[in-house]
Amino acid sequence: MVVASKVIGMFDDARELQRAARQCVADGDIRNGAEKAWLAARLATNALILARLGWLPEKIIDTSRELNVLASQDDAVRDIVDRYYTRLGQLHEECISLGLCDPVSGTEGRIKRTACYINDVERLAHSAGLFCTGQKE
Amino acid sequence: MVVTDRVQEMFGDAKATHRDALVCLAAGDVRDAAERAWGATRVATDALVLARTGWLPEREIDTARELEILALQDCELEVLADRYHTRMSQLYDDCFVLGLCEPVSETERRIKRTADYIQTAERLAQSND
Repeated sequence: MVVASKVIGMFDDARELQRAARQCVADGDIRNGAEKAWLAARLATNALILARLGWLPEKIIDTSRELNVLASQDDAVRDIVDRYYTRLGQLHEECISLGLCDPVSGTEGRIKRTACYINDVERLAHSAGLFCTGQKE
Repeated sequence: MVVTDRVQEMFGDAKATHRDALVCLAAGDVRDAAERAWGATRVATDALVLARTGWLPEREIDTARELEILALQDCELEVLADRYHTRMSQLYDDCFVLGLCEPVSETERRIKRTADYIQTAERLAQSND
């Protein structure tokens, strides 16, 4: 139950970050938008790992490894692995760290579609059964 | 014609490098196999960029950027871009550079499925006609 409420809170935080990312894009601050969208994607992925495996990764390398562990157990998780790595590579490493956000329209599209990523990851967390508590629709 | 020949040659190199990766994998050297599979991925992607734009990227960051530009035009290229980033981060950065190849079953699967990545990139390069 404690884990379930933590997972729900993390997905709420991810959505809030995603909304902030969209606002940054609307304000023309693509780099800040990329950072917030990456954090939202990472938080959602960590929430999935917590829901499925019962522990919370601290470092990015742990998030990546555990996501691959989940993919080895469930083909449905494989659908999000490539989308996770694109956000790690293109939003985090290139746009945020190096300031290389071109093509901007591509980066903006990826930031906006992070909302879909969060929804899809949450659906996978649901299938762990942790949300069958009446706490969330 | 010169570009077409070069593109074909590069896809040939990518396939040969991928065969080397499978030999490394069979010998139990997953880290070396990951490096070769990443190398094959990059050459195939550069060949695709050359076929579509007439320009050959020199640096990794250029390959990634040009692939992102191509992905704006075509959903299938967007999916390929996602797979490219997975190979760059997981096969190269994590497994080869840092030695973090766990879970090995997923790394092995990704190395093997790089054959499909190369085929897809080649088909998309040819569809530029």
